[in-house]
Amino acid sequence: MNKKQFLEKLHKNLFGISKDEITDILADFEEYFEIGKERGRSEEDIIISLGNPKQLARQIKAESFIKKAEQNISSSTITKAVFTTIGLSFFNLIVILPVFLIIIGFLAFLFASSISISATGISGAVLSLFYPLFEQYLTFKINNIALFFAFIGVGSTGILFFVGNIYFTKLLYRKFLKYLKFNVNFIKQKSLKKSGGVIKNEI
Amino acid sequence: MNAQFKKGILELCVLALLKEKDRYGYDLVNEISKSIEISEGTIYPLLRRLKNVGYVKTYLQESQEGAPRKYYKLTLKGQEITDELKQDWLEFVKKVNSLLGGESINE
Repeated sequence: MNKKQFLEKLHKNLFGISKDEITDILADFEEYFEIGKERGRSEEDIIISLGNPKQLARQIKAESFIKKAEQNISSSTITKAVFTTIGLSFFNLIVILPVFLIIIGFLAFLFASSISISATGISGAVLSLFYPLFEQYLTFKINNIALFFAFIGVGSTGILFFVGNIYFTKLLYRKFLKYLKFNVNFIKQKSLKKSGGVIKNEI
Repeated sequence: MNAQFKKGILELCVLALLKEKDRYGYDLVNEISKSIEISEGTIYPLLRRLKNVGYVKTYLQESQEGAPRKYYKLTLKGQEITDELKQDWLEFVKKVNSLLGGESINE
């Protein structure tokens, strides 16, 4: 076997790995032959000391597969992390969902009441403007101007209440987000520590 | 000797040699062959692995003797790992030696 045959045999047995990698590997061995020859060794001698090309190819392929497997390990840790997250979310679902629903309900109640108060105020104020029109149907007398301002007062209170609710909702939303982030970070750190441990053991 | 075991030792030797200075494949084989009998070709799969995990980097350098050489250089991570592995090895050898010593006393 000469150098050319050696490299051909190596090449033939490297199928399954990328072309770039093969080119790279063949260049490495080519260099090895060159340097060996510079040092006065014969091709035959170099080939013998290099070992069986078929076996070398197998080793190189194994390294290539290990690389892939290691990538798989990291992806499996990611999957694990995702499942942990889901697991924790499930816990959240059971423990936090009722609280969350109560908060949402409470917020809905606040918004509904603020809207109805504003609506009462505004419609009342508008109606009181038309007071002269149905004055005749009423058995009692009212100061329509005072009524108008009273309704305006109620309406603006409702609007203020509504604006206040928006701020309150935003505050709750931020707190809730912060809590979620805390959860996610907590999980991330945990899984990072785990995968870090795995990698170290690998070495 | 167990192939897996030898592979690990070979890796440590390569890392230690690269800690001294940057070397090319042939040079590494040459140095190691002085002390340990190896199948010279196995150095390349090993070097590829070290590169894959980011312990070494490579660069090409012209040589006055002829073909340009692909030099291998330890990365910072590689240097840290080398120190760690060396420490592990020394402790391991110490323990094994004491076990072997204990055995010979029992005999």
